[in-house]
Amino acid sequence: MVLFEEIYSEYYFMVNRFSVRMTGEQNTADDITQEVFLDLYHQLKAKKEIRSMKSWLFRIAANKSINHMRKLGKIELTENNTPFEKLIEPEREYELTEELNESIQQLEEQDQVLLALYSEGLSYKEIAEVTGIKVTSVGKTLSRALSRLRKTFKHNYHELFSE
Amino acid sequence: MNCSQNELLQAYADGELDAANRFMVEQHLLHCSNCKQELETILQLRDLLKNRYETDSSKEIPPFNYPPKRKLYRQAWIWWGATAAMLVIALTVYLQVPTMEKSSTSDFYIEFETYTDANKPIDEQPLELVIIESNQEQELMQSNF
Repeated sequence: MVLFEEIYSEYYFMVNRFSVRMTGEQNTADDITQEVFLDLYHQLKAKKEIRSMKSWLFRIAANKSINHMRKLGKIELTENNTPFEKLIEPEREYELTEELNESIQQLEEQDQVLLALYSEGLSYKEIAEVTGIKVTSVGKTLSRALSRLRKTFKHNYHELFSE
Repeated sequence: MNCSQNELLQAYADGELDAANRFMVEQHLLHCSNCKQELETILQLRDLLKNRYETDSSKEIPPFNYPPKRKLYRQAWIWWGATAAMLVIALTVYLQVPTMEKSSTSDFYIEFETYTDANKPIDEQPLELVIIESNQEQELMQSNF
């Protein structure tokens, strides 16, 4: 299936990175990524319509990540589940990243999905396609989610992001 | 624009505003230091979020594990085919049964009740046939040749 293999190569890292953002675990993200593409494989084999490939992949990955998070109740980073390759960045920024991750994990499920999609650089239109939120409401919903993140972040660690 | 419209600043930072709204925000930013500061924070948070994880460029895409092809006995059409064949066989057998009964004598047996005299020709001998069905119902048939 040539088409499938092309899609797999093109979107693998995108789905994988998004799954890491959602779950905070590389191993889990690898499993989720595999499951997402398995679903895609069956979808293509059954000749079912996919309007927007990118949005479809994100939506399936988001659902699978949410299911995983619900099963766990809470996502925690451990030594065995190390986060995805980090940017080589100043130590302070690395700390900020860690603290930001923990703050995100304290947010509501919908906020976590929204922020993970936003972090992946999706446009408002694409976020709307994945989440089902109206395009015109994405800006406001995202802005609120970011405010809540800043609030949690500030409460936990810093004055940096004031409310 | 007023300073409480945070989503407008957010959309501006994300490049999601049309030209008219972008102009309005830019005009506001020229004289509002609070919003300028807020925009800085929005951009800082956005960069932090986007750079949280980055794909290692040396990492290779693992091969996709294709699902195993379904074995023959698992394929639905085999089961439908087998069921249809069984039905045809059952129907054929069912339709053949009356024919077989007609030709079969296994459900009947004949007894000669009367004494026969071997010295007389057959057309002068009284002959009584008793045909007994398998369900024990007897039907007496007499026949004189």
